[in-house]
Amino acid sequence: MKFLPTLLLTFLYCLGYGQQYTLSGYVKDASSGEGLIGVSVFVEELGQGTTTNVYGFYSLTLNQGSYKVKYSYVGYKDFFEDAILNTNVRKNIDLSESDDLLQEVVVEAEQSDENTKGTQMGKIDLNIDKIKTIPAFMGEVDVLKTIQFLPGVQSGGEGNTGFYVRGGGPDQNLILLDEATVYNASHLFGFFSVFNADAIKNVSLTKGGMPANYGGRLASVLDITMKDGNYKSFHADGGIGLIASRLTLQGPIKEDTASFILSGRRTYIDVLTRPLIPDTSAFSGSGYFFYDLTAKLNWRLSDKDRLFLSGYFGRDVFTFNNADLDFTFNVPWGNSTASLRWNHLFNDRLFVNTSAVFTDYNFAFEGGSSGFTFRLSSGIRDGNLKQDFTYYPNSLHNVKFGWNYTLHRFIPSSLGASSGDVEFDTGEDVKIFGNEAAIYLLDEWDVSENFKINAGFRLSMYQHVGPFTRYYKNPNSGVTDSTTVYGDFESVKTYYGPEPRFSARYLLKDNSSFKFGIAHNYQYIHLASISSVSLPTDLWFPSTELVKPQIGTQYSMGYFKNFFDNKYEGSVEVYYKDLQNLIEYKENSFPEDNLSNNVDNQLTFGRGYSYGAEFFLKKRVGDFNGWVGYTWSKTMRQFDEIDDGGWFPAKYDRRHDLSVVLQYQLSERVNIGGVFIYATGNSLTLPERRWFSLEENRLITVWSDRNAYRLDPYHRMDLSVTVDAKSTKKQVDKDSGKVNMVKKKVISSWNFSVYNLYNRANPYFIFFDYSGDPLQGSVEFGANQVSLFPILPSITWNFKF
Amino acid sequence: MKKFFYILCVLLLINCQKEIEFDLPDVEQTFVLEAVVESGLPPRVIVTNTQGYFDPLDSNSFLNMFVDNAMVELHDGDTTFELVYSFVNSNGVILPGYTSFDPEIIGQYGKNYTLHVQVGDKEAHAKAQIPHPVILDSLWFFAYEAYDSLGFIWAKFTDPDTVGNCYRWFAQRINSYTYNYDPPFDNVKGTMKDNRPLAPIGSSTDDKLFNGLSFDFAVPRGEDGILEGPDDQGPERGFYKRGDTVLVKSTTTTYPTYLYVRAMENQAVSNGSIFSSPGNLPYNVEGDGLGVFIGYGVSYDTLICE
Repeated sequence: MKFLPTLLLTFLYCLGYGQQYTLSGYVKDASSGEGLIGVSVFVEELGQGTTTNVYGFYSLTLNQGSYKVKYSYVGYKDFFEDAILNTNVRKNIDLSESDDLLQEVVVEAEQSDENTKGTQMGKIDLNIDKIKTIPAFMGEVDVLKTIQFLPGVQSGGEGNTGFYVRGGGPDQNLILLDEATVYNASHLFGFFSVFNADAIKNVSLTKGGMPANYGGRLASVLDITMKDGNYKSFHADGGIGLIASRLTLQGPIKEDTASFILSGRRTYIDVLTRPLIPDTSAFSGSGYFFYDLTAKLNWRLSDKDRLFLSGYFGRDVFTFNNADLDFTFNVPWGNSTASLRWNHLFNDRLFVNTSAVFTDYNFAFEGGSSGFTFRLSSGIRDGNLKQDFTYYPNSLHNVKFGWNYTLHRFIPSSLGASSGDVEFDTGEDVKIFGNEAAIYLLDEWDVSENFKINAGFRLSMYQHVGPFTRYYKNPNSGVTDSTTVYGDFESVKTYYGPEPRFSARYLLKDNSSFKFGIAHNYQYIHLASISSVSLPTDLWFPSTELVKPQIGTQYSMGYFKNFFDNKYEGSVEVYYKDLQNLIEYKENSFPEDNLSNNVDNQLTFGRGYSYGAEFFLKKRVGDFNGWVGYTWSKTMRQFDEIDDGGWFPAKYDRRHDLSVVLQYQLSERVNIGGVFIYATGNSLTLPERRWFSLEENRLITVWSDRNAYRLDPYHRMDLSVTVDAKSTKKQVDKDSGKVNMVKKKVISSWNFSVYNLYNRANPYFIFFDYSGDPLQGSVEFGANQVSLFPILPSITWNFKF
Repeated sequence: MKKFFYILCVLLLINCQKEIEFDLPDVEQTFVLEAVVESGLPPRVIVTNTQGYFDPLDSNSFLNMFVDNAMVELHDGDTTFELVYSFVNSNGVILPGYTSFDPEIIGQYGKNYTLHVQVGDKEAHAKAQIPHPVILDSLWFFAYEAYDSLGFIWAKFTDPDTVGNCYRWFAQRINSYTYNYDPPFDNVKGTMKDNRPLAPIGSSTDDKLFNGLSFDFAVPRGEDGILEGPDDQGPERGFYKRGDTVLVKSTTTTYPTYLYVRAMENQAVSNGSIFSSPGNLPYNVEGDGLGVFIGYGVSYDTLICE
């Protein structure tokens, strides 16, 4: 172990060779000063280049000489700069937005040939400013809903923002907001995500094998970066929609040095429904609302140091009152995150980001009636420290290494109850503490002109520490037979996870490539749902001596081709994923079973696999552009304690998934967007038999094997029209009387959208009922399908100044 | 007009509900046991067959569901009794089932029972126990002001200081209706309100929350499963009325029974809920059949609601 730093430095030194100098700097938006992510920095004569990182920093080490460097980014004018490299050169570049009327494809922020030339398979970068023309549910642009239009990413169903990537569960997606983990990215039971698009700069989804700098989840990483805030002038953005409104304020604290951005959103569903519930009604006081607040401060301390402080706070509150029955309950839940990050440049080739992050997610259910009160809550709190180094030894290598530590505190289930003055003995709140850590090293290496690899290794670890009490329950009586008590910081169980990652790209000929990847991942944090629908009652809990880490190995390969001078891009990717130590609740588990018990005593464990093929064709430019994505996939699970150990389809096993997203720039000010999606129906467990309990006078259902049946397919079409208001107005010059056209201060647009254009009644859930009178001896049984959203028009007015 | 607009919005938001059909394959049926031993009563074992879920239930299928050719044996720890097909008394309701008229088989506190059933070449077995009863400290009726003469039964109870006690509550109104209701209940006057002790939803509990404590609790009025009575709709639903005479049957039972009752009641109330999870009940019958074998240690009280 002692020689590891020496070995590392030697390795890094060897990567840098010859008389070379480094061109480095930051690339920013000329009007706002925001760092731009993924800008191509390219020297055509050498055929070498790099891209800016998530902070807008780039570093390119070349042989001594003079070069013409091209800086290019979608939506911005190309910028050329002469660089004389006889010493290390720092060049900070400002790029201006393009005036080109050609409508760039709405969601890609990458360089035009990234499809074929990048090693990273299954990675998509979304440009937030461009997705606002895609039809959105109730006019609310939603990042999580947008990624579900991509192949390999499946929706959780109507009204559900949870998403499934290549057969992985919703807990297998790592969602980061400025490096803070977001545990529940949903409002209103999944109808909206917690992300306010106005405050977001970049969204990057990695669904193929994730590189070694990411870990902790098996299926994907959704990395969301907030805007920094305009460094040059004050601006406001906002929108007024049918059910929610939002406002974003940003501006300089000190021009070109420090900035802020503050963004808020609130729904007014409670205001809309209040007239339906008069004050005299027994239900007065009932209602629902959610809000989000996002804030960020940035400070450029020096040419080498930058500081960022960002935070998110969001809440959903649902309240129900019935005064007649003296019954009330309310359900608050939400996330809070805070990140403090420090960028430091050691030199032109070595960049480091150091982060301290706090995350808190909690959910509570509080109710009471006639002096009886009840409270159930669940939460998770993380404190995280990490350092990520990026070393650019030369133009052929891009090395990343770093470490990551998180202290977790879980409260999977906290229960309290009282009747009058009597406080029921609900036991102490069970808190579970854990240390999670990782170190990694990866290199993105241009082995030859055609062959590029991204090879890395991550070593992760999870340690469950006390205080903790392990309950050993008698299965016949439910009584605690014995306990084992662990003291503060005492180790209960430790797991180690070696995680090799490898991906490669071989350029076959111009504009096509073959890519291949293997990724081995460990996941130490898990989500279990008691119900069949994703709810905030889902419990997050860590690995313990009973709960082993989930392990996933994904093999993927793909063929990528661009056509017609990169105007079209297409790809075919196939994957196979093996999953171990999957988790489900045992059947007939109830929340109160966690009382004086361990949550993991209610769990059962199994395995699974998933495989599929993803087809993608996109037209990147032109007035008419968009994409078609189709996925064929199969996802299966097996648990010894479920269905006698037989294999069954996962809840989200979806054989076919098709998305068509199109846009047409009708004129300079009018854009039309359309979406069509089709998906195989969700798998379903049906009642196959029944018996009549004469002791209870009840019909008892006997269910089929799990998920043995299918709902009807889901499909719908959405349409939207975005009309930009005129950006200029006439102004008469007082002196000359001449009429000039001047730019308006407030730029606005109207968005008209129709969700579910042909009013398809897509299945939301099925319930079973009977009709007839048992006393008359004639009863018929049937199934009823409930659908959620019919054709729904909406109007949103967006503005900025 | 404004109200109409808002109502329209709410209706639109919940799109629609429609009947659908599923083409289910033929599924092999099996037999089901419902067996009860309780203190002071002979055992009763009802053996029926499962049916296809979407098969209609009419008088023919109702009669055909009973299994009358099973071989049923009950062992009480000392003696094995053969139960014969006859009529059994299920809390005052007479049903076809298996029982024994041997006085030695009357349920006794503290005994452990083993049941064995053979139907053709299929067999099933189960175990149950009759725990010692725990008597309620007191009972009273409390009417809610907002509802005039309607209210719940309240009880004071002291749980023994031993963990693992499980309970189930039944109550029967043994007074008669004094007037008729709207059709089809226009002929109930003079009939007993409940023909047997009924368990409300949430009737069973273990003592995890209140082990060793003394406390008051309220219990709503239960319904007779899927059979709705004349006052199981409207404002009287779930309430007792001033003047009711209530026979309270409080029982002790075992953990497997508590788990079964909890799951059975949850299945009954969660039908139609998107938050429910399909899962078969935790039957304690093992072998080829399904079903449950329950033991109750019983104590009775009578309360006049005034």
